[in-house]
Amino acid sequence: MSFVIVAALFLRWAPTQGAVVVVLTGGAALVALGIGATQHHHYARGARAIARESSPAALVPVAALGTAVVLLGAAGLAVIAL
Amino acid sequence: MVRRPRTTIDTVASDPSQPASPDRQPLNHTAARPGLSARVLGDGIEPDPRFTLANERTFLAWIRTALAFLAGGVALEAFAGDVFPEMVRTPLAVILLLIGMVVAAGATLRWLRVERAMRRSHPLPLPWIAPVLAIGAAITAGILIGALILA
Repeated sequence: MSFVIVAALFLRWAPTQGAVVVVLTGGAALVALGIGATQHHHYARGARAIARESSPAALVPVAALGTAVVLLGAAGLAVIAL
Repeated sequence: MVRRPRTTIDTVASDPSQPASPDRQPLNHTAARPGLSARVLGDGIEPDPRFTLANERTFLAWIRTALAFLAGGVALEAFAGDVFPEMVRTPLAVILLLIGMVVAAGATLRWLRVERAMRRSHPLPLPWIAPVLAIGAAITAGILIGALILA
């Protein structure tokens, strides 16, 4: 939901920045969609991990989410600089 | 080296008098981890899954904080055109976006460091994101108060 809000806020820049903002909005919305689509899988994985007493570290999702937020911030800075 | 206290789960898992559950896995999964995780996380004993999941929840909480800062920065630049002059608005927005980026990157690194520390039974690292966040928020508030006083 936070990604959706950020994506919606990016739209405010559309009249002044043009198509670049649509890319940013689309990227943030895609991340939000990815999180929404995989949340059931993550919940089930966590429940299975507790039941089996073994939980592999979610390295790729954590790295991907952290990178996405950093890139989103960098994109925001780039839009302000333009 | 500080070892984490034995939990009920550890006791049960290592107690030979307990009946073995067919789907219970041994606690040490270092050899069974995929290559990328093994390279990044290194050696060690897989911690209690509750600790791993708690570490993940803490990471997600920091990410929500980072997104709030990003949204604040974007909103300030996009919506506060009539409220603040550009020489105040733009630096504030840049600071908020930078804080958001630093918090997100720091959250990812902290997740990794905590995961490694738990696997090696080391003390958990101190959260350096917290003072960075406090200093950034104080600077932002200072600029804002200064702008309001001078306006």
